[in-house]
Parts: sequence; C-alpha cells; structure tokens
Amino acid sequence: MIVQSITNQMGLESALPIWIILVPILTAFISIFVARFSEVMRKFVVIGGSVLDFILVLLMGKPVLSGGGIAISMPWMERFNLGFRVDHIGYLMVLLVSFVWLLATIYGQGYFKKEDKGARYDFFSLITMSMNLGVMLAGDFLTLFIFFEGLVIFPYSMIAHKGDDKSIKGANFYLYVGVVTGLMLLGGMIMLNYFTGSLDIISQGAKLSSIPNQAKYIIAFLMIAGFGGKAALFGEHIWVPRMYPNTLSITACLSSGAMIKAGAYGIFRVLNLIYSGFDSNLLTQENIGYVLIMVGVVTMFLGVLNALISSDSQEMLGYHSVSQMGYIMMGLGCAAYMGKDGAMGLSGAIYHIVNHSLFKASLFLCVGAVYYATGEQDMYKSGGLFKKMPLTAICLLIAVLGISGVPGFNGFASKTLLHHSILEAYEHSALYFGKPDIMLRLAEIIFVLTAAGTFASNIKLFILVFLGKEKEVSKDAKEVPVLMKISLIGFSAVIIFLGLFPNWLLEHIIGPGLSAYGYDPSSHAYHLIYNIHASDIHSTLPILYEPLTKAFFTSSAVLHNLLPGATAIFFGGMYFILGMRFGWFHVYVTEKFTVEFYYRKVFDGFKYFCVKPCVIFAMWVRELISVLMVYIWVPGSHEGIFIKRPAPKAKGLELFSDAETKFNLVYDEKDKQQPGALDMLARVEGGTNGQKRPGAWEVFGRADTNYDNMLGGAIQRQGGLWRIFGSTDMTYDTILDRVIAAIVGLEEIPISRIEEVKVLEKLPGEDLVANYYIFCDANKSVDMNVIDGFVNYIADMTSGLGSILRKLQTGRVSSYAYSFVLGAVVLMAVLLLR
Amino acid sequence: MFPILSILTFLPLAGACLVLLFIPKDKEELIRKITLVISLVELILAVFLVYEFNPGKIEMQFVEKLPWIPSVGIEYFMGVDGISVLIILLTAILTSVSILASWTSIKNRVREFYPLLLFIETAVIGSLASLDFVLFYIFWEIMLIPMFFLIGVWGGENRLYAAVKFFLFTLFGSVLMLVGILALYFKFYELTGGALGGGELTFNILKLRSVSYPINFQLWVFAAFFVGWAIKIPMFPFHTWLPDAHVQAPTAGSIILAGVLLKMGAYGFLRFSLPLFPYASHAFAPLVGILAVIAIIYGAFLAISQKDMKKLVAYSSVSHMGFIVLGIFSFSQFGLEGAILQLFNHGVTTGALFLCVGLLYDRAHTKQIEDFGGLSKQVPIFTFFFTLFLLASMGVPALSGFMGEFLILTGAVKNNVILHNGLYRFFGVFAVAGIPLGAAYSLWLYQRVMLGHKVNPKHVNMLDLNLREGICLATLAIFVIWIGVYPDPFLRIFRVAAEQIVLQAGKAGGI
Repeated sequence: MIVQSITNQMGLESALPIWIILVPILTAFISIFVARFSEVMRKFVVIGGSVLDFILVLLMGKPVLSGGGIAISMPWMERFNLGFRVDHIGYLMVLLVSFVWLLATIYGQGYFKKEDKGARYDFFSLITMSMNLGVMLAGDFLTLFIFFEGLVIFPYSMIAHKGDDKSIKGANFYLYVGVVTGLMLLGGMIMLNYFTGSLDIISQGAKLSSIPNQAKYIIAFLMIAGFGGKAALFGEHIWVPRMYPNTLSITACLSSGAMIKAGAYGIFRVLNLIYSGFDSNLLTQENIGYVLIMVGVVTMFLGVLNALISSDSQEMLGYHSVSQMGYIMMGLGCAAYMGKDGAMGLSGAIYHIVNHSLFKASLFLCVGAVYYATGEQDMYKSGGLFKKMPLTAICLLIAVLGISGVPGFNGFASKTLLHHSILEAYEHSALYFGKPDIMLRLAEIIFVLTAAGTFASNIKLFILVFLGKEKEVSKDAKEVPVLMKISLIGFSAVIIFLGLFPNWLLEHIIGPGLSAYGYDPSSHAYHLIYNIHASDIHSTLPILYEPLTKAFFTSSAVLHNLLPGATAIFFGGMYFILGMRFGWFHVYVTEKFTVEFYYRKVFDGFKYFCVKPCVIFAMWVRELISVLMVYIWVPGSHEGIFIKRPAPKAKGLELFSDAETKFNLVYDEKDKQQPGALDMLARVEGGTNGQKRPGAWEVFGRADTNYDNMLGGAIQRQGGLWRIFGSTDMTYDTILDRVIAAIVGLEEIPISRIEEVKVLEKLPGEDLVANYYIFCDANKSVDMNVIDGFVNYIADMTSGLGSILRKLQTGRVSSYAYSFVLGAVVLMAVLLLR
Repeated sequence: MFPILSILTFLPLAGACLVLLFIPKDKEELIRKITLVISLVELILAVFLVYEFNPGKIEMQFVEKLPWIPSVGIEYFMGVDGISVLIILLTAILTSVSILASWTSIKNRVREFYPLLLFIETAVIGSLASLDFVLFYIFWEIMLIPMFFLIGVWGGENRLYAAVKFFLFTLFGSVLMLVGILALYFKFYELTGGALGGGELTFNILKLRSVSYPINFQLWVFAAFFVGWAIKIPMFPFHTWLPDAHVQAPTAGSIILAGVLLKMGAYGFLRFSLPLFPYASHAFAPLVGILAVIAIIYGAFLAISQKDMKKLVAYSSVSHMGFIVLGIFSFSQFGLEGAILQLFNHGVTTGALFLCVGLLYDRAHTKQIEDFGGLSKQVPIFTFFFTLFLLASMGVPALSGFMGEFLILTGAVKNNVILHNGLYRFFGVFAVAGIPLGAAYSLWLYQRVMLGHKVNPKHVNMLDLNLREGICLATLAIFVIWIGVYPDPFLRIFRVAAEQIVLQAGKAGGI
C-alpha cells in the first residue's frame, strides 16, 4: 500500500529503489512456498527473481545516469524518514551487487544438487541480497544502518550452512564482529546526529566545520571502524580466517564479492560527509586520509602475507579479500588526503571495488567448482585438473590474471590508478608540506610488493590445482553442471570486457559521479609531472590506455602505467619459483603473531578486572544478606501475611524419569569449588543412538562441574539421596546402567563402549553469562530480601501492632472489667477515707 | 452530539451487569460469548474514536461536560487528546485478546471472571477520558478492585499474599495522590482570589493547570503525586509488588496488568505531573532519571536471574518501563513521543509474552524455565510468535521495540532538562546498557525454552496453537510489525499532544 502510494506520487522510476529491495524478499517467500511442490519450480523462481531484480536495476540506469539521480523519502518515524538516494556511485554499487548476486544464485542452483537444504540457503541468500542492495540504495545513515544490521544477521545461516562446528564458529565470529562494529557505527551516527542534526548521506562539510575537532575525529573513527568490520580492515578482520575456509564457496563469493563491499561503500560515504568543506575541514580530512592510507597499506600487506602461507584455497582467497580491501582503503585514504586533488585515488578505489568483486567472486566460484568436483579444498592435495575441467581452469586463470593486474584484464586499470594515486599523495606531501613524506614512498613500495605477493600466491593456486600430475582426488572429477558454467563464463566475460575497455566505466559512471565533487582538473600535480593528460570529456580523469587503439602504443604515459605492474609480476614470479623451491609458502606463524591473540588477552583481562570483583562482591553481598536475614530481620516465629518462604531446591544433579519419580542428587561440597562450577544448567546427551525411548532417564547436571568428580566411581545410596559418579568419557547409557544397577542392587557393570560425553546447548559466550549470573542472582537476593524485605518488615510490624491492639481490644475485655471494678473500688476507698 | 466517551466508558460496565444479573451461572459458553461480543463492540468503538480523532487539534476532543456536584466544583467532564486515545485503543485491544485468551483456561467462577475484565476496562477508559480530578480518582480506585479479585480468586498458590500486596501498595500511592489533589484544589482556590476575591473551587484539570503554582508547593505536591505514579509504573524501588502479582495472576490478569494498568502511571506523569508542576518536574528530573536508569539495568539483571518465565517477563517490564520514564522526563519531543509509542509497544509485546507464557502453562502446567527445552520442533507456530515478540521486546530494528527505544534514547541525549541536562545525557548513555542486557535475558530464555535437542518427555506431544490462540497472537503481531515498519500513523496521533506537553513542561518558571 505504501509502495503503491509512493509509486503514484513519484512515478514508477522513483519507486524503483523500493521495488529493487522488495523483489528479492518477495521472491524468497514465494520460493519457500513453491518449494513444497517442486524443486525445479523453486529454482526457476529463485533465478527468475534475481533476473527480475537485475532488470529493475538496469531500468534504474536511465534516470540515474542521464538524469539527476533518484532521491525519495518515506515518512517513517518522527523526523526520521526512510530515505533512498541513488547517485552514480551508488548506482554502480547496486549494479555490481545485483550482478554478482545474480550469477552466484545461478551458480548455486547448479551447485546445490549435491548439498542439502538449497531452499533454506536461497531463502536467506535472497533476503541478504535485499539487505545488501538496501545499504547501497540508502539515502541516510539510519536507513543504511537498518540494512547494514540485516547484513549482519541474515548471512548467519548462509555461513553456517554446512552445519559443522567449524562453520558455526565462523558464523559466530562474523556475528560478533558485526554486532560490536554495528554498535560503534550506531554510536558514530548518534554523535553525528547530535552535532549536525542530520543523518543524510550528503556532504555536510559546512555543518561539520563548526563542531569541535575531537568530535570530528571521534565520529570519523567510530563510523569508519563501524564499517571497517564488514570491510575487514586490519584488526577487524578476525572473522576472515574463521569464516572463509569453513563456509560454502558461494557464501565466500557473495561475502567477498558483495557483502564486504557494503563496508567499503560505507567508508566511502563517511569520507563523503567530510569532503565538501574543503577549506575548513582540510586538516581533519588530511589527517583522516593519512591514517586511512596507513591502515590500508598495513591491511594489504599483512593480508597478502597471510595469503602466501595458506594452503586452504578458500582461506587464501579470503586473505586476499583482506588484502584487496586494503587497496581500496588506501585509495579512499589518498582521496581524503589530497582533498580536491584526490580524483585519482577515489576513482581508483571505486574502480577497484568493482574489479575486486568480479575477479574475487569468479575465483571463489572456480574454487567451489573444484571442490564440487573433487571434494578437496587444500590446493597442495589437488592437481592436474586441467584436462578434466578445462573451462573452470580457464576461468580461474582469467580471474588470476585479473587479480594480478595483468594488462588486458580488469585489475590492471584500477591497480594502476591506485598506484598512481599513492605516488600522487607522495608528490602532494612534497608540494604542500615542504618536504616529502617518506612513509608514503614506503607505502608505494609496499603496494608493489603486495601486488607481487598477490600474483605469486594466485598463480600458485592455478598451477597447483590445474597443472602438474593428476592426484588421487581428481581421478573422478568431471566438469561442473551447465548452470555453474554459465556463471563462471559470465564473470570471465565481464573481466575481459573491462580489461579491454578500461575507460568505459570511468567515462560512463565513475567520472560523472566524481564530477559532483568539484575536483580541480588543473591541479593534478602528479599528472603534470608524469605527463598524463586529463580526459577531455570529464576533465577529472586520466586516460589510461586503450589496447585496441593506437593510444596504447603512442601515449608517453604507457611506460609509467606498465612499469609498476611489470615489476610486481616479475617479483611475484620470482617469489613463486624460489618459494616453491625453498618452501617459502610453508612458514608457520605462532599464535602470538595474530591480532586475535591480543584481543583475547584484552578480553581475558577485561573479564578478570570486571567480572571477578563483581562476582566476589556479589557473593559477599549474598553472604551478608543471608546473615542479616537469619539474625536480624526474620526471627523464626513470624507467620505474618508478608513472610514468604521459598521452597527448598535441590542443588546439583537432578535425575528424573517419565514416571514422576524424582531422585534428588547432590554432589560433593568440594566440587562447588572447582573453577567454573557455576549455576549453569546443561544436559548430558542421552538415549540409545540418540533416540528417545519410553522411560528414558535424563541426567541434568551443571556445565563445567567436574564430571570426573561428579560421575567418577559408582552410584551409592546415601540417606535417601542418590549420588552419581562417573567419568568424563562415560556414555549416557553407562550412567543409566549404573543408575539401574544401583537401584536393583547390582554393584559392577562392565563398560561396553567409551565415548566422550557431549555437553550440549552451550552457546558461545555462555561462560560470560554464567559469570554474570552470580551477579544477577545476588541482585535477585537483594531485591527479595532488602527491598521487598523492607516492605515485608513494615507490613509485619504493622500486622504485629494491629494484633497487639486487637488483643487489647478483645482479649483483654475481662481485664478491662477488672480494672474498672478495681478503679471503682479505689475511688470508693478514696471517697471513704477522705 | 454522540457521547462516544461515555459510551466507551460505561458499555463494558453495562455488559458486566447484564452478565452478572441476568445470565444463569451454568451457561458458561454464553457468558464468554457475550463478554467477547461486548469487548469487540468496544474495540470497534475505540477504532472509530481513533478514526474520528483529529490529530491536528490542540484542544481536548469529544468533550462532554455536565455539572455533577456543583457546590464543590465537581463535574462530569470527559475529553481525550492523542495520548489517551492511543491507550484507550490499547485497552480495547488487550481486553478483547485477554477474554479470548482465557476461553478455556478459566473453569471455576466463570460468571464472575469475565465481568471483572469488563469492569477493569470501564475503570481504565474512564480514568483515561476524565478531565475532572475527582472523576479520575474514582475510576483510578475502581481499577484496583477487579484486579484484586482477579489475582486473589483465580491466581496461583500464593495468590492472597500477592493480591493483598498489590492492593496495599497501590492504595498507599493513591492515598498520597488524594492528599495532593486536595492540596491542589485549595491552592487553586487561594490563587484565584480565595474567599475574598471570588476564588474558584474546581477539580477541572484544564483549569487547574492554567495557573502556575509556587515553587515550594509544586515540589511537595509533585512528590505526593510521584509516589502514586511511581508505584503504578512501577519504578525502582517500588517495584516489588509487580513480580508477585504477575506470577500469581491468571494469564488474562497478567495481560491487563502489564499491558494497561502499568501504563496508567506513565499516563499520570504525562497528563498531570508535567503540565501541573513544570518546575518540580525539572527539579526532580535528575532523581527520576537515576531511578529510571537503575530500573532499566537492575530490572534487566533481575530478569536474567529468574527461573520462572512469568517472573522474568515481569522484571523485564520493570526494565522497559524505566525506558519510558526516562523518555518522559527528558521533556523533549523525541523522548516524549518515544515514551508514548513505547507505552503502546510495551503493552502489546509484554501482553503477548505473558500470553505466550500462559499458553505454555496451559499445556505443561509449569512456568519453570528448566522444565522446558527444545520446544521449537514440537510447536513451530507458537515458536514463530514467541520469537517475534521476544525480538520486538528486546528492540530489534524493524520491530516495534526498536522505534520506541531509539526515540527515547535520542530524546534522553537531546533532552530539554533545565537542571543538570549534561547529567541527564549520561543517563541516556547508561540506559543503552539495558538493550544488550535485554537481549541477554530474552535470548537466554529463548535458548533454554525453545532450542536444544533435549525435550522433556512430558512435552513431546505438546499441541501447537489452535485457531483461537493463533488469532490472539496474530492480532498483537500485526501491531508489532506495523509499528516496527511504519510507525508514522501512530506517532501522528499523539504528536500534537506531545508538543503541548513539551510546551507546558517548558514553562518551568523560577529556574
């Protein structure tokens, strides 16, 4: 209804963003409905929905690219509207995301013949797609935030689709990082709203110039860090090594090809906020840009180092995602650093977002195809697949050449732009600050080294998997199904197209998009020095090269354009050859070299300093209250209306059967002092072969209680209470046997098989809850005994007073009479004696 | 003019009398049907009221004014603004839902049970619509009696204790309020000229709030009123009646108690305290803010440690009502709108959660969390609704809770408190801690009840929702999603009213 009314008000074209977001969601629901009837129908619906969405995105091209963009705003909540705004860059992102998602969905329909539960996967995939598109279409940060949070929650099921412990752990890490960074983003947003009164995604330079400097930095930090979690900035990338190797290749493809771009896009928009007020915000912007360059460089270098030593192909590609995001961050940083001269950095960064999506999605899908055919993800264990899977091999090679920045493939254009932009920043520092900043020169060198590492590790992937001797796993490999082929070919085609016509995107979308920022075409310091002329059409962009025209051969800039790439490929090739010879790909780093190790340290310290005192304090309070309760407030005789007596509860194990019989079990006092023997309730897995059987026993115990002590030995009967002892490795059946044996009086039962007792239902973070639980419990005790106790005490006093009055009134009537008589007697005596 | 407010107020009473006087005791089904029909007619009238209500008008609407006891200035004076219209709608919805929800679970004294629910509706709507202090006070007191019986007669094991405690607590607050009302009455007489200058004796709220009172007087009377509202909300440290009452009350009683009666305290702040005592409100704001933040965090901690589901939801209400109070005492447009919207949201979600717990109790005859586990496969439809309402209650974006809490927190940060507004901003920041804690108790509850592989063998054959229960929950779910996705129609109802309160509270002279 709302959509209808907006369509009527604004015309069909303006309502397109809403339809683009709604179509995947509708498709998702239709698909699970259809899935009840036919699997083929469902696949048809899913593909149809993605195609329809892509067509809608294409339709949106005309009003955005030739008109002034789309901006709509739906009334939603007091002074906060749901706003959608599409400009050139936003449109490019939407186009990219919907394209990647379309091809990945098609691929998935072929892929899921083997795997189960494709319907569930596609359902969540389509909803995530909608969220991802929403991020790119949003017109203000609140709208963006809502979709961004959706992008944290909904992929969970996609990442954990395999359902094994590792993939769930990866999904959990993704969720943790998402939640924490989401809160940072929210904090930044609230501060932004507080200082500027607006959350619109437009440059707010004028408003920002009047706020305190620290606030500007804090806002920028919170928001960039908030988006950086998704963009896998260095330090926030800890989910990458957990998630990528353990998830499906389609999820990896979508994450790396589309979802991760939401983070980059967000950072781009944050910088957008500060861009326009060139003069007043120049210093802030420069500083932020400088930090971002450094973060980007560190991210790209460490990412590629990790990639070089990974043997799992998906893990390697995941680290490459980190590394490539470092490139993008560096480009954005250069743009911010150089202010109005930053066209090269910005165009390079945006171009690289597109290119990275394409080749990385293609790489992941190819690796997925290999996994589909051979079931092997370790590149050292596979080989010689070229003859079996020629198409996959060629597609992978194209993507590898793309990511390595070889001329003729898409990566070259954006990498060259980025390389020039960092050099430009170096020149810029010399021009504006007197002396050149050597760090930026170092950054350029690291850039080239990273490119070399990228080439080395990716070419290693291709050679190990497809060339060489045929390994055991590739014996029965066959080429993948048609749908998967279509998807692979689609990506490769676009990679080659962009490689052959690198100026196409720049001229048609990125260039006009950047012209809105008012970049100064005449002050390209670096351009002038290296004689790269500005394009005539959109005077902010350098002409790269056109391999199909003569410009490739004649332009004097060609050498400068080709040199860094050639250097990188030379060093990369050398590294590969020498590395394979001398084992440089098998360096193992210890835990101490990971960021996660230090996070864990900090977290443990946090736990120690926060939780420990809390727990000690809580226990202390509880003790104190119990003492007070016993000795001061509640003398045993009170039976007033306000005295409640909580029923005594059995501690420790509880054992019960179907037949209402309950046995209370206690465990040793000393078990309570075991570390972690807290109030958490967990259940021991039970039943024969996991099935329930009539009359089955269930043993409830506390997690972390030392099962060695609790279940070790035999079962004894002690004063009406049962005591169970068993060892950690006893099965439920054994325990059950022991219970029965104890009841019927047998003593010794041989243990038939030994398995690990699986403690179920322990969610991550539950230990933390358990720690706080004591604190909460103490609060409960305070509430019941102090606050409520006060009330009860008053009530008790009142009722006591009442009963005294009542006694005076009723029970002592006789004494009343006596005293009356006595009084009369005394009165008479006085009268008589007077 | 069509006296819609009187009809809304007294139709349930008439229905209750009809059932009590003319329907034989053994025709239980008939009694249920009649009460349901009456509550539905009431609901239709309430919707009609909202439809006819003009949100742009500043004045009270649908005004009915008759002299009642002219010698002391008591009138039969009724009228509504945006805030009361919204809560009237909520009351009508929740009464219908609670009648429908207790269709089979109430087996004894049926003829008394359902009329009592209608009595409460009369009292609540009456006090929401009355603009005369005496009229308001009468309805306010009437509210207690049916609730006392609902808890005391149809409650759990410890019902008498809970009922008496509930009654005494609330009565204590109301008596202080009565003192406040009388003080206000005589002060107004004095201010308008007293015995010499033709002073006016009136209980008319609109007239009473048209003058500004001396500062010292404001502080004392505000305090007297404050205790009354604070006990009803309930604010820390007056909250201890709430868990007892909820645990012992029958499901319908819990829904009404949490969904409607708690709202009356917040309504009192909005309608009386802020406009009448702007200075005192500002002076008390830091204190109230502290109490609200304590309620938010402390209530959440208490909820985490509960082992009884109903108690958990009850303590979560303490936490959520803390948010509402925080929003009200920010005196800002955002905060007030958020608080009023959250009144509606909280009524719907907490009512629904109590209903869910009640449905589980009907099936399993236990409310202890540890007796459940792995229910999601047994009762998928129930699980869907339970998940939805838990998510809404913990404030997940695109569901109703988020909207209210977001506005409240924004309002608390951008508050208009005159004294210590920086301090109040910090309250907003601290209150954020309530959201993750809310997620902690909600999700932990969900995990323990719904997830896991182990099902208590007694519950293996648990039945899923039937149509009647499904309708109850679906009705509430519609509002949860509607407000979450598109809250503007609701906000529009009371926007002007909230602006008025901001204006009136802004007249804190003397600071």
